[in-house]
Amino acid sequence: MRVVLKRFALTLFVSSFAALGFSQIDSSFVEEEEDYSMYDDVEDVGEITTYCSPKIFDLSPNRFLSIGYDVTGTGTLKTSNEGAHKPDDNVARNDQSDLNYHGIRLNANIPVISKSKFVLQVGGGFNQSRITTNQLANAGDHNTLLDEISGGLTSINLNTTLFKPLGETNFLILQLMAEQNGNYTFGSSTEGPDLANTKYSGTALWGKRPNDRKQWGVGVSRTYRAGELNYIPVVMYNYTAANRKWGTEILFPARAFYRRKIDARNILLAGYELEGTSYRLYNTGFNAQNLELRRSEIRARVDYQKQIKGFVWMGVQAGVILNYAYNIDDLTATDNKDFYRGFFGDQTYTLSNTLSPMPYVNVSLNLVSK
Amino acid sequence: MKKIITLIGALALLFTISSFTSSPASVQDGGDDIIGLWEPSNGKARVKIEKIGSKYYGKIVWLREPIDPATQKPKVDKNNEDEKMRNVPLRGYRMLKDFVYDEESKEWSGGTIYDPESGSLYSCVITMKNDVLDIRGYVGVKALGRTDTWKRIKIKKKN
Repeated sequence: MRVVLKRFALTLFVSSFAALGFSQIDSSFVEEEEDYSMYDDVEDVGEITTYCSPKIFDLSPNRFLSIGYDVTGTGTLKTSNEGAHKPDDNVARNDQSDLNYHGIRLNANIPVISKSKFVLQVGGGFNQSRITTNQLANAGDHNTLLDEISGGLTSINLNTTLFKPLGETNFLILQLMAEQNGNYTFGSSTEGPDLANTKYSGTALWGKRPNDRKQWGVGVSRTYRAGELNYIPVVMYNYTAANRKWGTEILFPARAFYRRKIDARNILLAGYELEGTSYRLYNTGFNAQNLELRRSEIRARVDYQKQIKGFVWMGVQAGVILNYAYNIDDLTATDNKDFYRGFFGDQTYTLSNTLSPMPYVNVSLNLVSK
Repeated sequence: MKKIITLIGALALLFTISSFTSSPASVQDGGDDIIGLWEPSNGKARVKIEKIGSKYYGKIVWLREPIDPATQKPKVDKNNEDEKMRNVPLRGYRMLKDFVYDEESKEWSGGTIYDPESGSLYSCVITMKNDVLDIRGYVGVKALGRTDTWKRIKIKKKN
């Protein structure tokens, strides 16, 4: 009876996979009884070194390829006159107008080398912020800065990430990115992009992975996430609870999320991501001509990720964008080279602006690895 | 007459045996070198690779943590996409399936590797050097994948 049941179970096992086109074990094969205790005590024949994995249990899937679309609600842009405005000045911002963003987001992240002892990923991104506004030329509801960016903001980047395990628990992560950002659009006759205006950022992080449910690290980053060049410490803390139902995905201050695993194919994330960069403004009507828009936003959101089929997942984000920075710098005084203001510098802005919070939605289709 | 029948019977038997032994499925080649006991780099499992018909399969025969802390019962394939499979014990599970050896490229390909921790089934190609396997699981194309190294192990002889 036991043998019959075993054969039935094996047939079910085989046929269910065969039906999906996964496997077809030789039909004449009969599973033998196995004494699994014989595998308790073994000795090595081959030799390998054990390295820690770059992942822990239940992290949200790693996206190889992603295509998404981003739409925001309306925000009000208030702009100062062209001048020299100290960061902490009470600036008069009399130009104002409403705007919405929408645009495509394409990202690729390809593991060029992916072995136990070394992982090297190379990626690229294309993010577009098209702008819709109902402002009228020369009317009361008119914003001069909006004239310069109404064609949209485009960001293209190339990036690479290196994961190097240092034994069974320690690891190093290096991340480098080069970006071309500006008010350019492809196919138009306007100036840009110009390689001389490439922005470089990077992160170096040392970490520990004490077990399959926890990994943490500390490091430093050269970043434009706050809109302008900054050097900041970073802290990683990825954690999965013992019940495997919840966890955290944190790379502070860039992002911090609470993760809830509904099941292996449905994940909910809640938290924030700091997004930002510096955009070159080409062909403007301002007096100063080496202008950079320092744009930074905190995206507080709920992010639902769902497996559609196999390695194809969809993502839906909904939340609010808190516009942290939207100021303009002129690089003429620094010979067109970027400079460091940090959180406490008092270099002046050419335009000091604010953009009010706006709701947003993002939907994406992703090819992932879990 | 009886001798002739016996002779014909013996020849028929010989022909049957030879036709089986000369079939591609039974040719002894480098492909069988993979047969044996292996341990992935994370040391969490031991996998017995065997040949069934003309293909190679790998079965989990040992788990470092055989009991699921959540249920206090032997671990099952709870992350499987197929609900019907979620009660199948992980020990005894064939995580490597359908590999065919290519003498020219010296690799086992055309098969799949199953990751019970994520419930994902990856395309897979295996190469071997000095009792170490390079097992590359990938999504669609080999470039979108990751390689793990497994070492050969053997059962300790009892004194």
